[in-house]
Amino acid sequence: MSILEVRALSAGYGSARVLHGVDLSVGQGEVVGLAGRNGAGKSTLLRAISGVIHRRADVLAIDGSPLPRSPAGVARCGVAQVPEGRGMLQDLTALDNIRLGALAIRSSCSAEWLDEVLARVPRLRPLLNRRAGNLSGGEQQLVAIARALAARPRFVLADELSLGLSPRAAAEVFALVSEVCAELGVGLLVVDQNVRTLARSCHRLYILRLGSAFELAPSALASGEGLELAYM
Amino acid sequence: MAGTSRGGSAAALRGQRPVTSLLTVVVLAVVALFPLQPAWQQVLLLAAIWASSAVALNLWQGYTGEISFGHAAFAAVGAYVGALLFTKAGLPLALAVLSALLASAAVAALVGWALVQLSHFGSAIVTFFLAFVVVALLGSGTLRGVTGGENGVLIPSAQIGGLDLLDTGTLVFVALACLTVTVLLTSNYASGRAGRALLLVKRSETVAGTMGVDVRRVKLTAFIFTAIFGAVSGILLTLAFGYLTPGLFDTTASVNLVAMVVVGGTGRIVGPILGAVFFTALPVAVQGAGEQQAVFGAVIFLLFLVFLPTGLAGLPRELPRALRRGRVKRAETSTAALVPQPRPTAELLDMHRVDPPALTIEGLEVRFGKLAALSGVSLRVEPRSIHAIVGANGAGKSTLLNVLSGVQKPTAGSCRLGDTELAGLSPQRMRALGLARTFQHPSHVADLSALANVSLGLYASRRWSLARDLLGARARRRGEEELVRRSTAALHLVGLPVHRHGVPAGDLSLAETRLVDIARALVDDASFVLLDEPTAGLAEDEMDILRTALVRVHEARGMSIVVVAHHLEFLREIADNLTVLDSGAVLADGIPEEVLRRPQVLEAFLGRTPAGVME
Amino acid sequence: MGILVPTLISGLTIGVMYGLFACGTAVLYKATGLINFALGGLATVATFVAWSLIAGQGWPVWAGVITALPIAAAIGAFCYVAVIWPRDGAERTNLLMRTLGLFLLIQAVTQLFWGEGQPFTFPSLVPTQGLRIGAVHIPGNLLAALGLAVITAAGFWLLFTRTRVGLLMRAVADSPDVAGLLGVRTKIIAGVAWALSTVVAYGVGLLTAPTLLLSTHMLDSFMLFAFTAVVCGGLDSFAGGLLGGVLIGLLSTAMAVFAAPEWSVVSVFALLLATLLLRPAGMFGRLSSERL
Repeated sequence: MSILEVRALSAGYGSARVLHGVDLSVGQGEVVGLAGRNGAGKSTLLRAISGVIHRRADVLAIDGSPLPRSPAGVARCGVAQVPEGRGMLQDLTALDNIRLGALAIRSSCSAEWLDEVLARVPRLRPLLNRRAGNLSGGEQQLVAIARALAARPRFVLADELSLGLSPRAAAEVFALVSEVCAELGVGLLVVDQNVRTLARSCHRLYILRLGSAFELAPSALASGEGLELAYM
Repeated sequence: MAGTSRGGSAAALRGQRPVTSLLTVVVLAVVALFPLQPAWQQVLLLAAIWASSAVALNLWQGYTGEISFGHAAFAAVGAYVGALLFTKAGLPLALAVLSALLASAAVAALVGWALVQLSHFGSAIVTFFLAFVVVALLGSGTLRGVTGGENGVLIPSAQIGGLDLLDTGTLVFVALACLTVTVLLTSNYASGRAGRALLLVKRSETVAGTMGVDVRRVKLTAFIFTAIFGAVSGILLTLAFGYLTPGLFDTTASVNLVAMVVVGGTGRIVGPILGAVFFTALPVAVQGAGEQQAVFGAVIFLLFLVFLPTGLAGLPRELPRALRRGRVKRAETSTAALVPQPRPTAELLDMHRVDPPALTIEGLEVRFGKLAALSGVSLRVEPRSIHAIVGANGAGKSTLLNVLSGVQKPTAGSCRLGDTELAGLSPQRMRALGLARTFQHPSHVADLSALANVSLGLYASRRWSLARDLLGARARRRGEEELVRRSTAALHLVGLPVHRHGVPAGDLSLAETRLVDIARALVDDASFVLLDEPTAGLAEDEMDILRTALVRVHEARGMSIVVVAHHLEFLREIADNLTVLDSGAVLADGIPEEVLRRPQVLEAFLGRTPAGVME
Repeated sequence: MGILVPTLISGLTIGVMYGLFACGTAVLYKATGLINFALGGLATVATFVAWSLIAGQGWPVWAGVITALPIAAAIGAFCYVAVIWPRDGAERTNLLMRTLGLFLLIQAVTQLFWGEGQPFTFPSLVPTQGLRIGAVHIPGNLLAALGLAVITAAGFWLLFTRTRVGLLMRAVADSPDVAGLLGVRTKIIAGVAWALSTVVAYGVGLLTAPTLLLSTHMLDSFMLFAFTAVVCGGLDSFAGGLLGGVLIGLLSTAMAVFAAPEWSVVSVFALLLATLLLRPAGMFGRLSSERL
């Protein structure tokens, strides 16, 4: 049963059309990767789904209900974001950033839920009162993930989780996000430049090329063959 | 001013003549001949007076996209200097007027020098404050001896050649004559080289800088120009009332000027004239107490700002656009027009080859605080080669291009073009040395034709003076003919069809604007062209056209080309050399086919396999 | 020497008020990225409303003042909804001009309703005797200004650190794009910011009206001085705004006393220019992408 359903999505900037009819879907509890070279339109696709840019699609729905136009509306439909570059609100503390995930769309954030979220990212506990702008890249990434989880989402969009992180840290972050989402039954669409890491941690993988997405065969996923062909 | 569809003649650059504006002035003059009620006579007079300020202000507000919330200050300066010199110092009228204009220009130069360094917020606050300061000083106790303080100055009489200037009937025609002069001069300014430069500055100061435009000087000149006509209005206003007080030039007057430009319309010269008529007629046309009219006027101002920002003069364009909205997409209709053009004959082209030296980059470093955008980059671009640069986002490609165009100063290292060290030079200087670049984000001026946009590439190429633009019709025409000839040749070279040369750039398809960008970069015989993601957003067939254009340009002119792009297939076909950047450093360098097969390069693109991590 | 201390006190008093107005401006700037040229007018209108209740309807002073407070908030929010909300994707210059248009409109409306018989006296909200500390006499005005400053500071602190709305406002001020992505309704927050800044400005209006006398143009030059305080202190710093206000209060009062009133205007203008040219970020502001 799919959480996110996209059919024939087109989007672009002004007269530049970047996406021409993208089809993809993400199931409940599924971790789906989206790879593609720079300029292929990965960020554009996420922006289109999030409503940051204007888009047209035959189907663009979460759990069957069509996504509204504005980013705030999309967030309120249960789509949480882990933006590229982490999207830290620099002057707020780590705790405030996390609480914001819930309070942006709900009127309250219970202490119990907060505790549950933090239980999954225990490394953050001593850092809660630090200014978010002063945290390291990896720590900020964890804050961003906790913030997304705090919103009790049905679906998570993660953009370039590995950016600026060492391969080891990136792998840890990937593992964390995939585990939590699978456990909570939340759909996860991960966009990344690092195709090989994606291929390892995702159930399915799409490659974005010349404005459309095509799914990579599972065998190619396991062996890593054909990735170069698809990419270069 | 939108370009016409005539290609190949000097008229293609000049845009439209101010026919509508001049007709409007004539209409006003005819109306003035009829016996009118005193109230309407006054309206006509005030409209004619303030229209001069408004038309000139449009050059600052509409053309350059800047703000001046206190322009009545210049009217005040002009009025007071003129009146005092005339009445108290006893200077002849003409001399007093001239001094007033100079004084206003001087104040504008002083304030403008600061203003052009600020952004819109700063301009807004400073100009708003300026009007206040001027009025406060003029009404102050300190200067009371000179200015008469709150009571102001009385003008007992003023005559020129037997004409009594204090008579309303005469003054209307004098004011309309001044307006005509204003219209002609402003139109010449706007449609000339300086006006086009202002439009480019409004589009992007960075891009303008790389075309060789001295942004601050160009803005300052425009600001001083507008102040002079503000002074004209001030002087006429004094004659209209026969006396002068600071209250005539308060904040409301300044804001009214802004309103006139907005409501009348910023895109055309006639707009502010309409706006001036509208706002001076308002108190008389709307029956009711003064306060109600003021409310009405303010509401109209706001309504236009929100719903019709291009004003009354912009209606002819906005209405069809609003009706068309949601139906035909512009990109689809004009892509069909872009088919590969047959190779033009040698006569059509400016076939001189350039002689680029090698570009040698050594140890180039750019740091932003702790972040190293580029660290120790060394590479060499062979003369006459096409050199591609690829890499992930954040790898340093844009930074490298910015260094090579003077937009970014490196923290260490050197870039040498032949023997000349480029690091640290201004964008204007780089341009003068023959380095030109295109930009990834749209950098054309939407309201100018493709041809006029290309001609901007020749901005820095010859000696030129504003006076010639304003006054010398014949000298100007000759200069413009050469601009047209070279720009047309450049457009032929890149393969833009002739019937598209005169189309406003905002109506071109993405691929066409990319061609225009390239034409603009090479029109001044650049020996080194930097292309910033020319393929971004293009469909495959459009990329073919772009590739054909690049190959043809390269063959004909022989310049060195550096291309930053993501589309490896495209680059494989045209690049002689390929450099891969990763995290600010050079990862690989060499022949494209070979480089793209190396394991480290594949790793950089596909991602490293994390070792020793739990699965 | 006898004139120095009263000058200092007077300068300090009005300086604190400039600073408060600056804080109101800063709240709006942080939440919306706009400088509101109509803020002075909004404050004046709200003060007129209070005056109508007190002098016109005969209400007790404090009743009128307090009733006008939510009205002030409502006026601020309404102006946002009517003037900025529609087509709010317009260019920055267009939005700035809209606040200018609003400035015109509010002045015209104020003239329309209360134009006859200006200027009016406005009752002072504090006893004018003030306090005596040793040899120094602190007038009631200064106490009132300081009191309001303390209340506002406390109010802001509570709002921003303890309430959900405050958290959302801080988020929007930090990064409107990220806040929107997370689901914050930035337009509602903007409306709240407009209401809040109008209320703060109204407070300043109440304090200054007794001295300046209530009229349509009461806060015209005041607003400009306060904007200079914002610039000097740093566009997004409350402490900076207060300090900047005090600085300008002292400077302008000194100039008015020792030179002439017009020189206080000129000197503040000079300070504005100098700051913008030499240190655009102000004393405490951060030089972000929005350069002044």
